[in-house]
Amino acid sequence: MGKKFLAALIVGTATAAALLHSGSAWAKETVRVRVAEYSTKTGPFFQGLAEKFNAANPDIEVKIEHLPWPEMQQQLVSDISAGTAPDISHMATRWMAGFAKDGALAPIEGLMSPGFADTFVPTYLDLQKQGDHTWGLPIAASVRGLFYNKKLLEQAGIAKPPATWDEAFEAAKKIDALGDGVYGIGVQGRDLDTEGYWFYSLWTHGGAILGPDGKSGFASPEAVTATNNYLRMIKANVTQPGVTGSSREDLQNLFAAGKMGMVLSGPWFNAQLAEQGKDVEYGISRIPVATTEATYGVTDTIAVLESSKVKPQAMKFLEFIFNKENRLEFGKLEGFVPVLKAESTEPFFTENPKMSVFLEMGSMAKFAPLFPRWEEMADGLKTELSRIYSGEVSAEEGLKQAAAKMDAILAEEE
Amino acid sequence: MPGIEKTAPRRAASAGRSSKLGLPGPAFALILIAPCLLLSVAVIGYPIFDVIRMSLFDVSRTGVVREFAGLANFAKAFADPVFLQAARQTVIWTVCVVGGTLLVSVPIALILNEDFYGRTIARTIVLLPWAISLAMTAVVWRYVVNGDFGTLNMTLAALGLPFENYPWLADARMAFLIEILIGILVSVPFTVTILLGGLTSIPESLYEASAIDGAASTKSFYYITLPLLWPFMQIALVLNVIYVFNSFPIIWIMTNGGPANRTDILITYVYKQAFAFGKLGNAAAGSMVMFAILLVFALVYLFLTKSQGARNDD
Amino acid sequence: MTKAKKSLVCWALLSPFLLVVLFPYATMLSTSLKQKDEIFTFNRTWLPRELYLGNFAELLFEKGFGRALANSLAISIGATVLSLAVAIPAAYALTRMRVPAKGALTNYLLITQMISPIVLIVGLFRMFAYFGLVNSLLSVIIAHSAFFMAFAVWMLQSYFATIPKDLEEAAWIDGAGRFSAFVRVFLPLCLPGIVVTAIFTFVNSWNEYAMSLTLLRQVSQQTAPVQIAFLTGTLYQIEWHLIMAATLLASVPVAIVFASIQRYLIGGMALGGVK
Repeated sequence: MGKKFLAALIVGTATAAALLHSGSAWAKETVRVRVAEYSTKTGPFFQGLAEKFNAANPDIEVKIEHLPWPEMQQQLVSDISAGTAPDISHMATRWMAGFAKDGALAPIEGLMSPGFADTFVPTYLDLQKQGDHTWGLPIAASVRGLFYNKKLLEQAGIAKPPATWDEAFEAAKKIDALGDGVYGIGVQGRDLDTEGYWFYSLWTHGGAILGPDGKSGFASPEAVTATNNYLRMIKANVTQPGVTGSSREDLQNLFAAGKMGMVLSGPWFNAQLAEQGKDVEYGISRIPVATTEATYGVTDTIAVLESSKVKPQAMKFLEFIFNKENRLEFGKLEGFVPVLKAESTEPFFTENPKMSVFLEMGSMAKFAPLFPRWEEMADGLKTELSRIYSGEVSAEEGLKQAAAKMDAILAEEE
Repeated sequence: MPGIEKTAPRRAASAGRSSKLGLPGPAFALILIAPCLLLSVAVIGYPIFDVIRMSLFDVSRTGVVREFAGLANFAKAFADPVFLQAARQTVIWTVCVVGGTLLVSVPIALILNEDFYGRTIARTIVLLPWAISLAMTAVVWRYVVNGDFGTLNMTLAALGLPFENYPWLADARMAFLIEILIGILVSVPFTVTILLGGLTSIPESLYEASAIDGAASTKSFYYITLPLLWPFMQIALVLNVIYVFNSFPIIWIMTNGGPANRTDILITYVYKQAFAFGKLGNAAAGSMVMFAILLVFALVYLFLTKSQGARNDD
Repeated sequence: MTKAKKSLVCWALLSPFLLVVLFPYATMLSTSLKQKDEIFTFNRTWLPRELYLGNFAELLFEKGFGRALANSLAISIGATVLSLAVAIPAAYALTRMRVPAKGALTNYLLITQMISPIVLIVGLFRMFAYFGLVNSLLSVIIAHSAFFMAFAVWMLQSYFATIPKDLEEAAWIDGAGRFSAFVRVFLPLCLPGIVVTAIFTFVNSWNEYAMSLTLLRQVSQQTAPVQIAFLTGTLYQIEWHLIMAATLLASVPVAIVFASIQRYLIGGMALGGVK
């Protein structure tokens, strides 16, 4: 077989040499922008923005490509490795650290117009910084709250949404007792954000992802208590059946069908409920508390790639996306919390109780750390949570494993 | 390919007659084969080289090849308990799906070979799973087995069975079982087609002869059908092992390897390493191990059929 | 046993499997006729509220699914033609001529089948990007042909081996050249086998996902499986009503082909006996 590889190499190299010039065909003033889809409306929205921008800037042509989230990483890796990356790419903020570390992203602090950075809510922009650089802009931000079904709460004789986890447990028991295929509270056990669902409990019990000693906080006493908080609900059968088989989407569907009393989710869920759960009367309150008020904050990033040859033009388009009018439209469309200071005072956010609660919680939001290898740590945690929720191991035992994995990765990175 | 190696009528290619007719020599044969080989080497050759190279080097998450790493990537893979677990599960997955497929396909092929009313319709239905891509099959089944909204529980509950909201994918063993069953379902059309081809090539006269001899139909099945079908079963076996071993979409879409990595197989493990964790070097090493496993399987198979073929030649 | 009785027994024996095959189709049909707010409701039903064809209309007219089907068709036909164009001569040479290192060649082809395209995707993309062949249907046609051709060679080889040499040789003696004997005598005899091989290649290409996704980045070039995946891949909600309608639409052409070439398929396989 060796000979065949050699032959392939020779053929490849010869042809490559002949075609070298036709290889880099991206025109100079074209800015390729890749966005990932939050809903099927995302692509068309950015397409519309690009058309407006192109009409106003005859020297720049923005081209939008949109991809589904599950394919984003694979495609971005393939593209960067082949030198065909877009000029601007959307990504999860937790991938950003890794890409920045490997030199794939361009720092943008020098590209931004004076004063532009000051238009952002500092919390969200700060998340895009690492080392001395800003690696991107927060294209989407969310914090999470407790969605509750008003009718089910009422039927169960609960006057107001639970403020503490103990109240939440009691409420879940009462709602679940209504029978008829109704579940008290949702607990997520698989796929994207499983660790996030656990963080709600971790942080409100006073735990932390990274302990004061710089080591994993996954196995701290607070973390164990936080895990047992969910476990008692699972054991009492007041959650949906099969926690380890339920993704975020599954929980949201149950709530939208009126089968679930309470679920923790983010502002985007409003948009889904408006379409899918028209009959469900619901309210949103803060995440129940044990010792500390907290919520999980998440941002997604839009970044300029280091390989881009049109960085100033790319930045110009980014500044266009982040003007108040366009951001507001995006926020209304997809249901995200404001990342611009000017947006935060808009009646859409302040006067709508289904949005204002997220604004209030913004100040108490905590975030996942920006480690380049965070995905692996989170995956280790997810695996152990799965084992714990299914009753295979105790919370102490499972969390010890997850913490050990995280510490091993932290040690390797140093 | 292996089945052919053994069975193609090489012996029929009588060199004597060829030379009498002044046939073009091996050079001409090579010219006929060249386009096929070139296309294959040109398209698949470089990616294979790329994987081998990445498996031996330290690679950044964006595919930049840094320094030579020797076998470090392989060592890391074998030190990862999840990798070993995935390897074990790959064996279970492959054996169950391929074995199950043959067990289901042989009777189906035998029935479809009978002459009965509506046979064309039955054959078309049996082939239907082939008409949808694996990824889409998996997406549809994920909806079918959804606990609260899926059509499976809806139907079972309507029949009075206690599956009102049974969460099929929550328990790892049940989830893996379902994935295996779906794996079998989608492998049956291909396998049945090959087996049917084999069955239609068995001359009717053989059965008539055995009927005259008074042999029972079960006997003629063991002594005529099965031996004549065996080469076709072998082909189905080899190709299915290769396809199933590498099959990605069913597991990826239905359970993503979970719960707790219990349904991960090597290909899903490798994909996660590469594209979720950015460890392209580890992923490449894992791919090489996968390739090595299949290669060993193919060599064992070739060895077995060669010796069998030699016996037949005597 | 009369044929009618036998038919009953055959259908009865097949029914468990047929049920499992048809179940997802029933699910697809039921869901694709529902409206968005009917998918996740408290009381689930097989029957939609009304016969709603809006999902199909939305797919074809708003989402451009018709174009995706056309792209898939173009790629599948192209890949089938290219695969056969290189596989037929190769298979012919391998069955009818003395080929040096024949074993090595067939084993090489087997080996190319052993590595999953998913594993090779980064390298494949790097190479195509290097040659500036990204975003062209042709690149997918080439890639598909390279991966599916081995199977075509193998199938064709087994068919060709069953065609008696005497017929061709008779034509040669009659003064026909080797090529014209090949075209006029050999090919017509192998036609069933070639058709079956073509169908196999076509279906493989029609359903292929990873390569089409990676090599084609423009929405206007998407193939049907890629576009369906895009409907599932949004972050916050999956558009089940559209996915089911699209999957149903994408499988219909293939199902029709299966039904119409049924006899050919089995007859062809019979000729391709591996004896």
